[in-house]
Amino acid sequence: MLKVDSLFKSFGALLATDNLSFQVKKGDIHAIIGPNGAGKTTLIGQLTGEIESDSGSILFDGNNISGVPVHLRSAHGLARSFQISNIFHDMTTWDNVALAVQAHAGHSFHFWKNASQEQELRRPAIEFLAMVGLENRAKFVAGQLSHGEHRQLEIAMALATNPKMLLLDEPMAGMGPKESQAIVKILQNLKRKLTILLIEHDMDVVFTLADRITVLVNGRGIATDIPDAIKKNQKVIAAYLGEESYHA
Amino acid sequence: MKGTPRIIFIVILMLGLGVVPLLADYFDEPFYTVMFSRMLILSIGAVSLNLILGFGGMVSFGHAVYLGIGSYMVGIGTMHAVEDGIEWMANGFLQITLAIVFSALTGLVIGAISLRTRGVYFIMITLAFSQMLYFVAVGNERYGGDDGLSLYMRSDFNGLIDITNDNSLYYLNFVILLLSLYLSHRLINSRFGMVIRGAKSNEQRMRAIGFPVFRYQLVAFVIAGTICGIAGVLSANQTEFVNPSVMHWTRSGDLIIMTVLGGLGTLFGPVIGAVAFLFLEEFLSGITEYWQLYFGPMLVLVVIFARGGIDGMLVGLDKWWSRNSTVKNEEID
Amino acid sequence: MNWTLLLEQTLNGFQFGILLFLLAAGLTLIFGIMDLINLAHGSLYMMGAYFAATFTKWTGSFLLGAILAIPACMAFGMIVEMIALRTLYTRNHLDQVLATFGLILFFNEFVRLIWGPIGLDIPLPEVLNGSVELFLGIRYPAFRLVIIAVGILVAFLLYLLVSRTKLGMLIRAGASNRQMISALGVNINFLYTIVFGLGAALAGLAGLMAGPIMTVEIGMGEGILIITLVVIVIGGVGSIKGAFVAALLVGLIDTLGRSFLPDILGLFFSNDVADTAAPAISSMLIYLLMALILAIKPQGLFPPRGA
Repeated sequence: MLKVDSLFKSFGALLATDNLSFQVKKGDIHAIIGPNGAGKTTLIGQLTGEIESDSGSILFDGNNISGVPVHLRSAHGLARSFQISNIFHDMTTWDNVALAVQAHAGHSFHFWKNASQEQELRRPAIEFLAMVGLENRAKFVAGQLSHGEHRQLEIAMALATNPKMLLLDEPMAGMGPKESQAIVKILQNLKRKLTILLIEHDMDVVFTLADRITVLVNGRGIATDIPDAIKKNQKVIAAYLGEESYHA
Repeated sequence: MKGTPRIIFIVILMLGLGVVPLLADYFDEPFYTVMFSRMLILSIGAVSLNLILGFGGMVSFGHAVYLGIGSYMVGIGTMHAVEDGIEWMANGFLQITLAIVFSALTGLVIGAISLRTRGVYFIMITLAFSQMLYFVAVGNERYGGDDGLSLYMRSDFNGLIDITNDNSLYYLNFVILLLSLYLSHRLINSRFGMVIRGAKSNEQRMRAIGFPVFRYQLVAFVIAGTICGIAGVLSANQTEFVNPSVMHWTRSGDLIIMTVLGGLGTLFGPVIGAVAFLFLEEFLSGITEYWQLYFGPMLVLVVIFARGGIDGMLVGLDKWWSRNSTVKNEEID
Repeated sequence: MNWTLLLEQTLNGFQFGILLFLLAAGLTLIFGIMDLINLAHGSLYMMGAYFAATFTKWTGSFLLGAILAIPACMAFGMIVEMIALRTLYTRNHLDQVLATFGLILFFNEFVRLIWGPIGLDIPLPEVLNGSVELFLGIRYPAFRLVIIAVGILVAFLLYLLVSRTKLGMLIRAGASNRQMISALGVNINFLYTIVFGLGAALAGLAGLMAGPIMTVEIGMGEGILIITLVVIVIGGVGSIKGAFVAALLVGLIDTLGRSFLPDILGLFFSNDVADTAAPAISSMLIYLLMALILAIKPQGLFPPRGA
């Protein structure tokens, strides 16, 4: 589904992405882990189109998306959630997801009909909300939701664009154990239906969910393998020795 | 329908505006018809600005330029009709059509360049472009230059309405205001409106979910400019005078003030704001010659303290009212 | 080709550019560091002219008047900053635009109240009033040369200030990280007030130098403010180097354009067309320049910190 090949990106003297190559298999939950400063944010930026790579290619579902602008990546089938909840705070939860649905329901140069009454938009939206367990909060203003609910909303919005692959940027960020469990369940339900690229710090979650893991250190991919193999990989262990981010 | 204070206020305001000419005639004070007529015209301008500023978050500091375009279509047409005998150029329908066409084109060009920028750049660039057109008008000797053009007749609407009568012009303005309010209402609730509002709320997210934000904002920009151009046509007829100052950047500033004062991103806010602004101006200039000495700081204070504008205060009033009413109901039960 | 006219207008362009630079440097500095868009910057320019006019009248000497006017402007600016502008730093740009717009109205009326509605004159001393002979027998007004010289000196001093002094370092650092600066124990409020004062002094200097050659009148700041905004957009908001380059560019293009456009157009079109179109197009030149530059570099020529 996703093939990253020899990706390079530097910011002045800082080499943020260093000859990175890995593949994500269709239907997999593929996790990217690595210590802080490993270049995960830069990688996401290049995958979503917000950052332009210096060299290398990104093949998504067979298509080279390296030069494709941000708003078109969604059309290709790549959806992302944000690490810091990036929702429409002043609109209702329902509106948030409906907008995501609207983005893929043809053009929006419709000037007359009331969009809040269009079943074509509202019904799928409420279904996606149900998928993440937020259907009871549909009419609430999104800004009023709890942090955990924001993360759920993030996923609902990404799902609403009917993606082929979901890029989840630290979905567990700032969540307590119970809230994390809710998200893990959502993701487990999505297994096989979607390809998921998961950037995460929380090792428990990663090892529970991931089919394959790529380890990123200093912009470079030091290993890509199944979870069990990664656990035993010498290079990985060395990279994490003394690393405080390993949640027990 | 709930009788909340806010709704009552708005209804009274709109009804009030509707009967001004009748009252003015009754009390034999035609001056008020003219004064309120001006409020109506500026309300239309503010409603159009609210589309992009209030709902879209685009701080355009050059919106008065469309008032200028509309005004000059009337001015130029009427001038040729009177001086050169080309009668059809004074035709109101033609002038409105030309105003629409040129406002749309201007909006398209200015928007296409400005909307590629954000934040301060956008503000400054829209300001600069409107000032550019102001200078073009000032330098244009043929059509009055700095002194402007006097209109010897108002636009001719083929007998459909005779706007040489101040009351008729008033009602034309009123009808167009109602139409723009209705259009505004439909627009902001439509899919198109959702995109514009979403872009104001979180542009990055809009792009991430797949919206090509630029083209929608450009269309909104053009629509807003076009409606304002129509207001310009009305304005020229109202004052029977056209000069570049109608599109000076301080006029754009006035429009922004009206929109913010009334309440950004609300349907009737612009009308409330325009009325309040002009009332304040009338009132203060009646008291002292140096009214801007007070108006300026007042503005600063409104900005700092009354974030939601007058409409925001009304909403607050509503909340207070509903809390008190609920208590009363419980007592009865 | 009238070479005398060309030289004269080129120098005029430089001189106009220098005035623009003084205004733009202050405005871009204030924006770059405090993220404050200050429409009332033109009012500070106006105050410079009015202060200079008054002090010149009192002391009988333009030089003294100018020397007194600069700190007066700086003080005036700092007072305005402390009273009215502090609350705006955390506000969005729309609020800042509105509030500073309100300040413009206030200052214009304030000036009218104190100095009256009629414009003032600033008489120049004999030594500055005449013209200086440049090469080839071409004469050029002495005062305008002084403006250019002062401007270049100020540009140089600013460069030294920003790159070599501690204040300059704070200015550069403050622009990129406000919290860090206050964490270092530097009083942010004090820094901002000083920076604003500096910007006010520059604007005032521009105003007092412009005063003798243009009229000192109410609202004189607004016209040049817009052009200043064009300058900082072209140069890159927040960049002093950009302001310098853009100011000279704008000054030259505007001045030379107005002088020579009728002739240039006359080469291609009939004189009638050239005469009517030229004034209109001349006024548009700098805006067209701005549009052109933005089309290629939307952040201006020298955007700071690669924003």
